[in-house]
Amino acid sequence: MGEPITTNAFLIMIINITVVFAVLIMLSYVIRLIHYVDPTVKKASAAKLSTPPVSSEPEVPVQYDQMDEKTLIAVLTTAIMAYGYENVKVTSIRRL
Amino acid sequence: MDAFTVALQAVWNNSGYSVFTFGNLAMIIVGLGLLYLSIVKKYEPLLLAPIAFGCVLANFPNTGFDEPGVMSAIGMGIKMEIFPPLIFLGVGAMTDFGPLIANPSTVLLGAAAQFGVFVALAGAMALGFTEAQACAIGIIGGADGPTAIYMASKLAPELLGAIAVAAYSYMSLVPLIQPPIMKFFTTKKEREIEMGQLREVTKFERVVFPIVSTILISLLLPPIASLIGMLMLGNIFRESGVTDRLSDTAQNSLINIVTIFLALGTGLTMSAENFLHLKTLEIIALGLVAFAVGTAAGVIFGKLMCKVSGGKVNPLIGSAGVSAVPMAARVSQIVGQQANPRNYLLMHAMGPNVAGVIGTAVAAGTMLAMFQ
Repeated sequence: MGEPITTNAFLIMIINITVVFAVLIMLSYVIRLIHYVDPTVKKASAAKLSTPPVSSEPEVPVQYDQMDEKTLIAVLTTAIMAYGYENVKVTSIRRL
Repeated sequence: MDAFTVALQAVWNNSGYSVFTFGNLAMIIVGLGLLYLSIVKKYEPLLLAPIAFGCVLANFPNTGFDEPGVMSAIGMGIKMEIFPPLIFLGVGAMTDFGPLIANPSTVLLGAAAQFGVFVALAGAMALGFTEAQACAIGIIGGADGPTAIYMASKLAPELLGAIAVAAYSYMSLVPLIQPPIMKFFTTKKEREIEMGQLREVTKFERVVFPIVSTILISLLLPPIASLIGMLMLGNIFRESGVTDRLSDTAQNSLINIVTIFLALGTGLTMSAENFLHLKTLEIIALGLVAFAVGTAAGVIFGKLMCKVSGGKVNPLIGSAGVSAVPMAARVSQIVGQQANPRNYLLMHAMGPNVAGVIGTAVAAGTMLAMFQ
């Protein structure tokens, strides 16, 4: 091991945190670049654009079952427990 | 009769009892205490149990563990930095970089959490540790066991036992240490912020990201090429879709086998003459400082991002920048839900959590470049 570059603790801190931030910021730009050059994203967008409209008939309003929240919580809890998780309590649901 | 006496005397002289010291007794008690914590209290049992048992074994005198054999081979695996990269292979196979790729700005939270590393480094130097030792101690703040062991074996092998015990103990205490700090630095309104759904990440992005990041980081910081390379190789096994058998091996059998050897080997360094110093207590205290400062820095940076983004980022995910994957992300989720039961922060927190793994490795590489 050679002589240390510096023994000033504050300087060591500044140099190192600067390098860490610089490398990770570079990484974030690389991630954005990968997303930009992703050929599969462009194919998916093109496929959406070329898909013709589904129907010109007037839309029939779809009635979906507005399951009440308690029933929905019970269904979700059962599904999770079916995967082997015990003592599970679903406390909230956010509909997307 | 004389021969019998002489033989008995030889057995006694070669036994551990004849040279057993109070230091050995103290360290065996420490090992038993760690075993209690791991088995009864369930503090990181997969790591602490073999470390604890190794500590007990290390304090039996006259065992000949330094001579060629399985124990010295395990010790060589640590000294030659074989085990930490293999652990990272398994970690990479278990890691989902999707949340990070979907929201690249969260990588800054992984960087901010590394403040703890460097504050602890400064504190260690103030306490009289050398620069190399201070670097190895500071990395405890990254909450990354393999990286901490990697740094200690390279820069301060005499402190390996204390650093490893501190790192893994604090990793297991994340759910206790982090929440008070998170609540102190955030308001209830900030904790209630709901974050939007993450975009979908394509397979192309998931496969290209580990390859490109390995090339870029390894060229910049060659000392950590083995850690980053193995982390990303494991991730490629996971994401490629054509190496499922390798992914399964890496994240199950391989990581379990290497964990046994790494943890046992770490425990074997905890002999009385290496561990019973005031420096050990200082390392444990500095580790706590590093952890706390890292959490606080991540949350404060999260608040900054919240302001800049116009309230779209929940500052709690900043605390996940420490690399304790996935525990730190789960803590963000739990604290967020305590403030707002409709909040689901887990996947958002995974971004900074996995960024923290890369950030700690980068911090290690930078310090190795300066002090190795």
